[in-house]
Amino acid sequence: MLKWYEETGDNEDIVISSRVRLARNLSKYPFPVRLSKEQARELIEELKAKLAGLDEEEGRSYHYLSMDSISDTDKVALTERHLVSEALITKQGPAAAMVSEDESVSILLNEEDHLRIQAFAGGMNLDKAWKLADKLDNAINKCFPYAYHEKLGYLTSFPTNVGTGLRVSFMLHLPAIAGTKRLAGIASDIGRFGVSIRGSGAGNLYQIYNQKTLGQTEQEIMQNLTTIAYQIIKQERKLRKKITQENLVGIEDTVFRSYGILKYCKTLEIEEGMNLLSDIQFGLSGGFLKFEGQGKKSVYPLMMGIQPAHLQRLAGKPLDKVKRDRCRADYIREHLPELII
Amino acid sequence: MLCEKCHEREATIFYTEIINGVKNEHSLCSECAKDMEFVDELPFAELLAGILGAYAVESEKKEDTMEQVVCPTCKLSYRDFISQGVLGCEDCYNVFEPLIEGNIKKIQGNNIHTGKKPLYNNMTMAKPQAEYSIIEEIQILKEKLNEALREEDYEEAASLRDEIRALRERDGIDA
Ligand SMILES: [Zn+2]
Ligand SMILES: [Zn+2]
Repeated sequence: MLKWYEETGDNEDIVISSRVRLARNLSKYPFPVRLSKEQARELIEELKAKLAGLDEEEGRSYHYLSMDSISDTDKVALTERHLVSEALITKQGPAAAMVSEDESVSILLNEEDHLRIQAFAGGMNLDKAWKLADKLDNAINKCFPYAYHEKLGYLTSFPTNVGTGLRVSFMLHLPAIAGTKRLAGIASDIGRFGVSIRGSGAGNLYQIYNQKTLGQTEQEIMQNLTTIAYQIIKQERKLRKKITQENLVGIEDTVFRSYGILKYCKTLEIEEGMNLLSDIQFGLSGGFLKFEGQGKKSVYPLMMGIQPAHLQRLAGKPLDKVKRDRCRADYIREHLPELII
Repeated sequence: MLCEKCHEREATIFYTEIINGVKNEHSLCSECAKDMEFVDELPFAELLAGILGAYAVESEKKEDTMEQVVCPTCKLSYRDFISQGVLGCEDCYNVFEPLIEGNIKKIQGNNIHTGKKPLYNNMTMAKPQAEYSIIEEIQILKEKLNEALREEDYEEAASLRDEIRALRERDGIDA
């Protein structure tokens, strides 16, 4: 089975991924903040036992990861892949995750809510991610009655998630919008439609997501986010075209120089690495630059691969910053595909 | 410290706002605080020091009585909720509903769920959720209808009215 980021999806020149997250709580336990250690352990054991049956669903197999029993490096690496949240790995007390082999699904146990069901799809494909999460939600609900209120809907620890418990997001690559300083304007424009944007580190990657979870159906929430995403995509494309028309030689030069640095540098800081990879992605989408080989052409797997915890896992030991920057350069040299010139 | 709004007068009101676990600290002068109808309205804002005027004192008194409310199931107090923005169990939503309804509406812009419902509910494990009684169903639709009217969404209101009528007819209740 391909990983979600190896699959092709709509508008993948700009949309890296689509994500759906459902917050759910079981009816019989207090919410995580009021659970004793024993109750939390009992909750996780019960979830683990009953969810073991999910393995057979659609041939997707899951890894069960208890936060007590994996290393700090592994925990951080999971956040670098967006499979688990910062809140899960820093949680005081028992917490766990079930992650599917293809990384398209992760279920967080006893994070801020008893269950956070997450599903990913490559490119612009909320529908696919929703179907995965929805199906899983029903399968889990079959084993456990949920905390649900006739008027307020699914009940969550934070009232900001109540109702549908649904948070949907797109990860977007926006080099032209970011490069022309238009982000603040976009943030305030989309805010009026209940959508927020936040940067996810360097590399011109941004996430847009719905702020509100109550009062709209799941379909309405997804439709609204998709409409907003189309507006942003349109703007990004228009700006890319303009920048390219104004200075084709300069843009090509930048993209190829970035490739050259990545291919031949001996030490590389994370931020520079992400920004150079962003240039390469821009070049691939614009067709200035072509990778050899088959399959999806995206630098996103490299962007994950050069994150600090990923490099340390690869090295099998902790690395100080100097060694990490060195390993990062080595990693890129080895994995960056050759060009067709 | 100067007031964060006017940057002129000394700040006398400090409070911490927690939304979804994100902490924001604010400092305002009395004038600006009054203007912003903050003092008793802001969701999940904890007033650390309100020194001024009858307005602030009154709202403090109100807060005091509200803080006494405790959820019998999980023992979370309204005070805990205000300071952390997090609820302790499903019953908290019923216990604190009159207190938090306004906040929920403010955050969410709405207070009626219209999305997915669980296929399976409490008591009846592995059995599809028992339908609401018709009376309950009508009650819910009525609330939605009022909501639609308030929002001046007449199209929605008309379709809700039809739904209510159909239910009543089905059940032989006089319209
Ligand atoms: Zn002021
Ligand atoms: Zn409670």
